Amino acid sequence: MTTENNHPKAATVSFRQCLQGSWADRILLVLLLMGIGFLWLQISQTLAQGAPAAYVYHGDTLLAKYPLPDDERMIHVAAQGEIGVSNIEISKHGIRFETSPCSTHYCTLSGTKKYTGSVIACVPNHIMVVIRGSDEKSDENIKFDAISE
Amino acid sequence: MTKIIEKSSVPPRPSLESLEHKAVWLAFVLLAIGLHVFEAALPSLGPWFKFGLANIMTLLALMYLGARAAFTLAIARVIIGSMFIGTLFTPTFFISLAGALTAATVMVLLYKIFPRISLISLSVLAAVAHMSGQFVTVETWFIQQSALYYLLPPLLALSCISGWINGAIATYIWQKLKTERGL
Repeated sequence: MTTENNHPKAATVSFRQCLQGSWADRILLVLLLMGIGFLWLQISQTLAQGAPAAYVYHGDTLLAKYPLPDDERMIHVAAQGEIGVSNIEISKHGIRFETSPCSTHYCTLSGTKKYTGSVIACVPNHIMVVIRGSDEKSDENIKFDAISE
Repeated sequence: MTKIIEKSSVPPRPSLESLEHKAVWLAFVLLAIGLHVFEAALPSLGPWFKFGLANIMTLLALMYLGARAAFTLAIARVIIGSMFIGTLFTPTFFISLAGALTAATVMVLLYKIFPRISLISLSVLAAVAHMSGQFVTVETWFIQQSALYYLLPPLLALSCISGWINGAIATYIWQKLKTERGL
């Protein structure tokens, strides 16, 4: 068994030194972050076309599309998913999952999202709500399901 | 005569090196499962984001034991870890498995192509692959909407940061292991 004395360089490396990384690591990180930033910008520009609307999906089906109200109205959508009904609230404050039949409840814990590009998804129930510009295509085959105001 | 026949039918003993390899792999798997369960018990940092501490053990397995060990470790820790946290064969399990396998594949391929790549770079790229793999799985099997990818950029940015920190931890442990075991 080799002792530490045979490897003086390895023995002196502190966690702080490890955390700093090499120049190659830093360049890689900067390039990746730049790429991600560019992707983010592209997506934001695509989403920002038209007035913001909430889109409710079940799997590959668009269940409902509703413009975000600019008054105090509350829109409640009961979306039937794979394991039950997800209740979604759409208001001028944004979108939120009121209740969900899933066990993880990441969707209800996500709270209210109001900005264009916001997404709340309940993966176990295959339900997703997105806020995006209403000028975008993909409005075909809308199947409205239990919407109340 | 009978005794001789009995002795010859006994399979040869595994070498000490092979036993040590298995013992180290098992230790890494147990640590990875522990980290997997520990992370599941922590308050969530966000709906789609986890720190990925268990990937440190995959990185170390790759460096210490090789590509096959890293792959089997990734699979074993997701399956056994999911049993402990009660998510086996749920959507969470399949998403987790897809992420772990994608990350392990990227780690192994990059390490084969660039043997001098640092653990931090490996970890950052694996974390990005992990997140992307999870999104592709969700989009393919659960919510077939490209709108799902709107969530991806901020989560990829967070993955880069968590990957960097995990890579630094792995580097530190690897340096210690090299010193202690004279590798």
